[in-house]
Amino acid sequence: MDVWIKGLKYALILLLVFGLEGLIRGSGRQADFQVLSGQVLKEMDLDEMQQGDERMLRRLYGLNAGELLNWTLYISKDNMDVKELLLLEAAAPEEVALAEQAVRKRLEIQEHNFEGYGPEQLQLLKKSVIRVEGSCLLFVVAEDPETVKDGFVRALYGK
Amino acid sequence: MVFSSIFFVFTFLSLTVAAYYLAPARFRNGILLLSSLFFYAWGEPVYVFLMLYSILFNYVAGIDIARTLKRRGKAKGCLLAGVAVNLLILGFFKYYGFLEENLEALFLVELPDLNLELPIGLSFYTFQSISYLVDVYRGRAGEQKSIIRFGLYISMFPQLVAGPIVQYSDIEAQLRQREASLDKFGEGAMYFIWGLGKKVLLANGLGAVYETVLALPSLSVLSAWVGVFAYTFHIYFDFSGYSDMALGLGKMFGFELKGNFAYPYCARSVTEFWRRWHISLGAWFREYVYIPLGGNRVPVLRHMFNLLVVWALTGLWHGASWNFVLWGLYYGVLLVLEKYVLRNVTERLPILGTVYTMLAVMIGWVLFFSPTPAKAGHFLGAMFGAGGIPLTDQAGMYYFLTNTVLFWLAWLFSTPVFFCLWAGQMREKRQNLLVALHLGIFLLSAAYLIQDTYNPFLYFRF
Repeated sequence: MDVWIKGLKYALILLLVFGLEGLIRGSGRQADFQVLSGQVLKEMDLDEMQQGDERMLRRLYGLNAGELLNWTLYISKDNMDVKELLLLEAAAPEEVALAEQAVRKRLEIQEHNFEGYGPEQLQLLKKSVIRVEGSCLLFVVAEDPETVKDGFVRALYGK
Repeated sequence: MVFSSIFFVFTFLSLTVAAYYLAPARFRNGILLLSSLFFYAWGEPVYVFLMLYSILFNYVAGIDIARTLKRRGKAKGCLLAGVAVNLLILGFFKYYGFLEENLEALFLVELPDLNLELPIGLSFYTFQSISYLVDVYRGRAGEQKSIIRFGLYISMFPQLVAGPIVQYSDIEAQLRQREASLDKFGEGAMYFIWGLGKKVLLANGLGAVYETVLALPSLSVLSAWVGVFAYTFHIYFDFSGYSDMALGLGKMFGFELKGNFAYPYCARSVTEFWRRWHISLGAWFREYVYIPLGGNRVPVLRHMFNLLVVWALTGLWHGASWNFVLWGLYYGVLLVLEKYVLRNVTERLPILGTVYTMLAVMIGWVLFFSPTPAKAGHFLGAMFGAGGIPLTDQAGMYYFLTNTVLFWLAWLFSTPVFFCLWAGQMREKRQNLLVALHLGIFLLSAAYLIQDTYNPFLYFRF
């Protein structure tokens, strides 16, 4: 019995050590997202924008940062400006669908907010881009959202 | 899965209660264990394997310590190995990113970026595992030979994800045998409904106020105070609501868990505040860190050092970032000051003591909720009008006036006035009214849950 307990304990410790080592070896996804977000942000004019935190992500989209693999959010410093950029990576392509729903809801609310008295903002919102590729999603409200979207696709597929 | 969700209340809990009470007594621990694992796997389909590993390892480690108890040195080695494995798991999944960031900055090295998610409840069940190993080593409890009972101790869903942290010696006997009765079940249901009401009807509303204020592009003194006041009561009702639900659920299955809160905002000193706030965490640190360090039976300087170590660790337990360490040390310093400079004088001042404590605690919450010490400094500056920040602004007045009733209610329900006096009298004399009141709270909470999507639990991330 004693030998059995001791053996099992050491086996479990070895299992843990190999498991953690495997996690360290298998890492590297973050770097990919960093490259992706770097490329996308390069295409966006961020002068009048500020980076959003977890609270902002939850407040604007109802998304929980802990449930996403990676994300980056920029919003305008001015309440009357609607420029916005959200890039996220979900754990699986199926989960991106939920994030897309949240983004569309956000866009709908923004359009409703500016309808009638903010024609310029409304125009920006109308030409905004929501693009899903695999488990990544890009949402951009900007003067030229297509350029940002092209940067996103290029960074993803090297096109 | 969170307690304050329609699925939990109407499906999971109902099915678990039915299965538990329909089954013969000898199968009940097994049913609770299976339902607890399902509860955990619902939110953590991958990390449930980490929990299963933790159960198996600590089960084996406990037996290993017990079999070597006659040879003290060997038992100590087994205990240290067991504690080290638990701390390795906690350190890897909770603190790797923090260590990586700081080591990279300090030594200019590049470490792998793991981007690990924190397994829900890891801090809670790791502390329970350590409690088990130490209690077996100290002889406060025997080793648990039934893996079902041990698995239930680690994974029991009422207190799995946000405590209270149960010390093994407190629950050992209940794992073997506990009494369930209709009265106890009813009392448990009452606790659960109070907790649900605190969470859904008070904490969620206060949380929304705090989130809105924090998102304002600029702050005035008034809006900063509105924000910190909302957060102060939000975190209290959120966490104490959860703890009440946990206690209630425990009672519904025959367990008696210790209370985790005792009206902390009525405390007259910070020392007293920490005797009333997150009691199970304070008790754990006292039992397994503070006393082994020598407690207060050491020279003054060493005692101060012990307090600061314990409070730095308490801060770090709450999160892997410097602002939590700062928050912990802030309390360590206050406790040292109260003990050796103020000589606990504030505890003899009924109103002034409470005002001082609330102010100290609110400043503490700013350190707690701010992502960095610099942002905390900025917010504290706004609270005290530093740098020409205006006293009031339109947004501050708006949020203050529209939430005045909510703030008064929050204050009222954070005191024993309602719970001890009115509800206590009703329990004695007007039981029908008490039942109606609970039914009302339950229905109102359920209605909110159906329509409101803002329902986070703060302590899940610890």
